[in-house]
Amino acid sequence: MIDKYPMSGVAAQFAANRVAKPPRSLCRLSVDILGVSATCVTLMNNQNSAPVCASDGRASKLDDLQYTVGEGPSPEAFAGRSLVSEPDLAQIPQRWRHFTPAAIELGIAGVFAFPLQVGDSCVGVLTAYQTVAGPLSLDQETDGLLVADTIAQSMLRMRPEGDFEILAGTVGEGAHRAEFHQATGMIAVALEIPVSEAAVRIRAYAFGADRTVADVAGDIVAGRLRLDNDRPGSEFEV
Amino acid sequence: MAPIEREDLLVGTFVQLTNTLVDDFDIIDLLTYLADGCVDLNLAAAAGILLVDNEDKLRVMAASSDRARLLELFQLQNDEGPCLDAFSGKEAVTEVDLRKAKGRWPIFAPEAVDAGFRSVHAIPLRLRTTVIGALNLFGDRVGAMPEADLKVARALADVVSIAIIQNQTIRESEVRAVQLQRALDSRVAIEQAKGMLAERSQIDMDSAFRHLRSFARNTRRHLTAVAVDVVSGAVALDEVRSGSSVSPSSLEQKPGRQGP
Repeated sequence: MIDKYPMSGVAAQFAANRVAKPPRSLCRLSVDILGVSATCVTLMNNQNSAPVCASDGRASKLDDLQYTVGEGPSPEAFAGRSLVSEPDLAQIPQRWRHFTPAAIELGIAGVFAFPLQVGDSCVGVLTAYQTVAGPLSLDQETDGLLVADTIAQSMLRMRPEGDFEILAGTVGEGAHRAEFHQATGMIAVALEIPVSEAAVRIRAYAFGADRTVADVAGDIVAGRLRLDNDRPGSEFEV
Repeated sequence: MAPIEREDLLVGTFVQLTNTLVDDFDIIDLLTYLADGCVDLNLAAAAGILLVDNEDKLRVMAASSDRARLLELFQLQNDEGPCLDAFSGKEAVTEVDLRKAKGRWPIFAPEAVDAGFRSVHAIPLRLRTTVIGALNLFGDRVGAMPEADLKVARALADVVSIAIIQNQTIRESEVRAVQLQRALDSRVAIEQAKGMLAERSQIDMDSAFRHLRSFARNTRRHLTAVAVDVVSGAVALDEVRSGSSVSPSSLEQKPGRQGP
């Protein structure tokens, strides 16, 4: 825990030194700088999203959860191009009706999603999670904006080779998201439906079974799970 | 011009310049303000701004007047002249008496004199070591620019240089942001196509990817484009298999599955 310097001073150091670093190293650092429980960086456009890095497994799960249920602070921050703050999830169960109870179950009390802005474009979101309820201090919020800016710049520097593989989800955090898309392709062919419908089916199954799409996709790709055509949304073990 | 008047005008010019920075950035607007401002502030009888293009040629971007004669004077400075010297030397260039500068600029100097100018001052537009062009100030009288005027001219040149370079940086960032977002879509299409192929041929993902890549190479298309077509059905899965050079024996069957 960095307590030697004022938060904003640390964040400034962060920005000065970190722009050259790939986003995944910035994720863990941002946890220290912001004094939050976990963070996740997600690359986004209007159609898709992919996790770039997460400070721990729980942050990864929370990102996946939002992807499964199609709602949450992260997509909202991206769509609105502005900070989304919810300091106490227990107080607002009606906000994100599917995300909120699941997040609470994972031990999360507060969520703060910073859009990653580059000029007029938003390339994704930095999402911070707190296990203790309470708003971000002004310093934390300021630092969060600075960290988000640093991460956005760092993401721009990613090149198709190397870093892009992380970005693309073939290694690291995003690998399970790649599996989701593979599973979508498999289901599309198996059930003779368009990929868009296959994606919905997988999500619906995951939601109904109270699992993340990452888990379900992993099973589909490994051949442990098939989605049956005759009884939509049901399954049988292979 | 009285000092107070000059100061008002100077402040006004800076304000106008900064306005062009915060509004939709229009480089011609900005440079025109600068050229006009230099004349209005009595820094020069005529002013022009040249920027270097992709081929490292200096081009007139704005001038305080449209007089063809004046524009020509700027244009011919691609081969010789104060702007070229300022640009390549990265330092300001002064000529206090153009009538005596035939040795310095054999073609430019007499032309400038003919056009009615007697002195010239060229300030490079730069940010640290990056030089993007030059500000060209013509005087109708022999003699050096007063130091106070030089300071003003340099300050204006600096503001404009920073604005242009910043704008370039922002534009480049935005291009990269778009590329990043396209990369995301591309990757989704590729993974989906892999899954489709893997399921159809009962092979693992790596083998499916090799098929895709081979087919893309054989048909001289980008991998992403092929993937998008596979996903939409524009290219049939069997077509990919038959069109790829990957031998069936080198493909790995999926674990626990019978392949067709």
